[in-house]
This record gives sequence, structure tokens and C-alpha cells, in this order.
Amino acid sequence: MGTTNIGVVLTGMAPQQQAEVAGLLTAELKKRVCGAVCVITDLSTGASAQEILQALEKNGVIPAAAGDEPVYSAAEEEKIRKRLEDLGYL
Amino acid sequence: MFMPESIPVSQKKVLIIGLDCATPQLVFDKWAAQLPAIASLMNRGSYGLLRSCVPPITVPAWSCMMSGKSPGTLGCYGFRNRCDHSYEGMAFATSRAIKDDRVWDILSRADKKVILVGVPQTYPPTPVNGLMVTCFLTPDTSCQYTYPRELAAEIKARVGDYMLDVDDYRTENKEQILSQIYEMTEKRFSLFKHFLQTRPWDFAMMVEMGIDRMHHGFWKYMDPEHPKYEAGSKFESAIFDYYKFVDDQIAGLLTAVDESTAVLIVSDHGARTMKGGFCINEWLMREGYLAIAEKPAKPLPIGKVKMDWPNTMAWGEGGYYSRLFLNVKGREPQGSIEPGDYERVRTELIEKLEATCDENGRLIGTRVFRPQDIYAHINGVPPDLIAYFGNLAWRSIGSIGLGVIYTFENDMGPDDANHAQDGIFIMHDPQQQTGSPVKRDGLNIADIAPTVLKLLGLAVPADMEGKAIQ
Repeated sequence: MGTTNIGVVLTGMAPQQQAEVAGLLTAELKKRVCGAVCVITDLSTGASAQEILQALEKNGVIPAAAGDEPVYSAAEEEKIRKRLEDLGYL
Repeated sequence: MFMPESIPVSQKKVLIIGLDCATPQLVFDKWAAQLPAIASLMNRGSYGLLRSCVPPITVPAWSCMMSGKSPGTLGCYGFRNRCDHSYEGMAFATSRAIKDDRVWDILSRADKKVILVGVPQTYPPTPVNGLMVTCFLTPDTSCQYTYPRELAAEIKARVGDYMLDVDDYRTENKEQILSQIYEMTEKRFSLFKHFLQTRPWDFAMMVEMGIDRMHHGFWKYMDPEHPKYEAGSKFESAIFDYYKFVDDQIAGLLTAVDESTAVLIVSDHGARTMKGGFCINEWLMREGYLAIAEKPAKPLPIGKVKMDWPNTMAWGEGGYYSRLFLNVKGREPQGSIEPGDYERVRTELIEKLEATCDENGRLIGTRVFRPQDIYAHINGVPPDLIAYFGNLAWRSIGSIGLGVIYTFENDMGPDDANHAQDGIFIMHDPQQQTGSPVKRDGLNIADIAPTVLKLLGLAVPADMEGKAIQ
């Protein structure tokens, strides 16, 4: 997704590694965000692109990736099934 | 045609007011004169029947409308779809089931600002260039039901507890349902208007579910043709009163738009009186296509019945229409139909189903479709057949153990109306004043997405199956 303006500024790591992490981050942010995002991170802690994304998710800056995990918990699925049944759709 | 001062396409906006199940015989024929906001748009623009997809059901219909593609192309044939050819693998069609672009995806990429409220199949929310409030496939508002997430706090402050849908729908307490529907509708329109007035936008769309809920809950009080019509009921004008309420809400929204905005009112399907239920699996059993290993003590959904799969050739799903699945050797785990007999059995079922009569021996006009005949592309795991019992005058009952083919009591509780194939289309573009209402023919639900793109000056992707309405 996105007409996103993404800025990724990384410090504290060799330029080649920085470029690699920046590439991964940019690609993932483009999928998940619309609007402008600027990530400024010091990589001297050794944080990976995945860890940075998780931190952004945890802080509500970006939505979780749409992966293969189920949309509903078992209880939620039952709730939706009952709702749709009640509404006559099933 | 009167052409007011031209607005550059870059400044043009499109507003879609989606009314789930709004039906042409009421909006266009019966009550047009008494719905002034809707009538004013019709009289200054164009209108017509909007042919829905097959099946004409909320899911997949709104996604067909907003992607410009058929259920076959989307690989989405209903609220639940087979994930594979097992007997159990059915998954709910959430936003993740739609892999194709919908209009807001394209607009977001083109840097157009969007506002989306309540559009079916938007849960879980996805990032857009603007905001999104999801639909009734959201479990509740404790889930993330907005994009961005923090929008939920603003909604709470604005309208209190946002209502995704009505609760406890299958109740005879009609006052309670009415009260909930009005509250839900008022909150949704109020919130949508608030966004229109406080956010930059190029495209804004809301879908209100209340009309659908009203039709299913109150049709028998209105329609003398309904088998359970109650003359003189205090709810006789409930649907009319609600349409007038919605019209008032629309009038309120229209005060928030200017001459740069084209306004569309659309529905995903229409409504008609429901005569009763056709018990598809009971019928399949009687005709020798379905076998059970153990008769249930009470009616049960097929998923809870001990089936004799090796002796079953077909089974069906319940709902406002039916999807039938054939049990094919090498495809289903305990298939019984030789692949070489597949078309023969399918054709036989079509002929028999289309020849079904009501309890008095009169043909009911059932229509049965092969996906391959109605979709240009077929993705996902399609049903083998799609059936409209009595051309949607009868709903499909999937339970086993009723012991009858026709039922006039819905084991789920009251339901007065079924869906109909045609919804409504109304468009008023201030840049194309018509002076008098223009009635359009041949409109298709897949035409809406390309129409929006064209109005906003964007190219229509070549793979959209609909055509822009000029």
C-alpha cells in the first residue's frame, strides 16, 4: 500500500548493513502504511529490521502485518458465526 | 444538459452513501415522492436498477461493487468460503479474503484522501490514505476496528459506544430491534458527517446496514403478499418510517458537500417477500443424493450431523440462497461421484431443482447456476452450483432432521424478507445537471468502481469487469 513517504535514517552500523536494514524496513512499511513515516534508529544495539518493525507495531505506529495468523480467536469466530446465523446469512 | 461552472477534476470529490438492501420497488416506485433528499438527487441526476452479482448477498456484493469484479474473480462466493475440498474447511470472508484492489486501495496509491465507514469486508482494517471504520464482521469495538487505531478514541468521544450492528436480532421484541436500528443508524450517519466536515477527502463512502435489518425484521407487517401479513399491525409503517428517517439523515449529509462532489446512493441488492424455507439437504436426502449415518434427534446444521459421506453425492448450505457442493472422487476426502460423471450429476441436479414445486404442486421458479456459466474467472474453491429457490422467494435451510422439504417456520427465529437481484443506483453530479431525472438501464454492480475512478480522473484498470457509467 501506499503513496507513502518513508524516511529511514539509521546509524551505528556499517553502511552496507544499514542499507540492507533500510531496504527491508522500507519495503515492509510501504505495505503497511499510508501517509508519512520517518524512522530514525540507532542500530548499535544490533536491532534487526524485524525487531524495529515489532517495536513500531507495539507502539501503535504501524499496523500488524497481515500474515497467516487467524483473524478471529475461537471465541470471536463463534460470535461472528452466531451473528451471521441470527442475521440469516448462514 | 445544464453544465455549471466547471470544477477541475483534481478538485472533484465522490461521496457514496451505501444502503444495504435498499430496494427499487420501494425507493423508486412506492415512496420516491415521500423521500425528498433521495428524490432531489434522482430528479437532478440519474437512477436505475443496479443488477447485483450472483449471489446478491452483502458478502461478496459490496466487494464486487468496489473492486469492479465478480465473485468468481475475487474467489469469494459468500460469507464463508471453502478453503479446500475437505468437508470442514470453511473460512469467513474477512478483508483478507479480498486480494484484488478495491477503489480505496487505488485511490490511496494515487494520493487521494479517503473516508470509509462500515463498508462490508473491511475487517480487519487495512491502511488507507485517510481513515477506515470497519464493518459488522468485526467481533466488537474492543478489537481494532479503525485505521488508524487511535481513531477509536475520537469515535467514542463523538458518538459514545459505536454500534457495528444490532444484537439479539432473532427476537420477537420488535421494539427493541427498532430502537437499536435507529440508534445504530443515527450514530453512523452522525459520525460519517463529522468526518466529512473535519477531514480532507476526495472519496468518502459509508454503508448503512439498517435497511437490510428492517426488511428482514418487519416486511410481513407491510406487505399484504407476505404469507404472515398482519393487517393493522402497529409496525405496518415501520419500514416506511425508517426509510424517511434515513432520507432525513441523507439530507443532513448533503449539507456537508459542495458543488465539487458527485453523490451516489447505491445498494448491494434488493428485497422481496419471503414465502418460506426450502430444506435443501432434506430434499437431497429424499432424492438419494445425500445420506446420513445417524438420524439426529433434533434439526442440526450439517456440520454437526454424522454423515455417510461415501454414499453422499451432494450437500448444500443454508442462507438466502444455497450453494451446493458435489462429493467427487479424488477431490473430496470420501468422494462418491466418478470425475467422469461430474457434469452428468450436476446437470441432473439443475434439472431436478429447477423442476421443484411448492407444497401445492406449483412450480416455484427455482434458478440454478453453474459458476463456469456466470463468472469470467473462477478463483478459490467455488461451489459446484448456486441455487435461488423460487428465484429467491424461498430461503435455503441447511439443517438436517426437520423431516420436511418446505418450512414456514424459521428455526432461527423470524425472518420476513429475502434478497432480490436488483438494488438501486442514484447519481447526482453537479457538473452534469440533467434538468430532469434520467432513467438508466443495464447497470451492473461492478460498474461502480470504474465510475468512481473516472469521476476522479483516474484510469480504470483493464482488469475491472465493470464499465464506467457515463
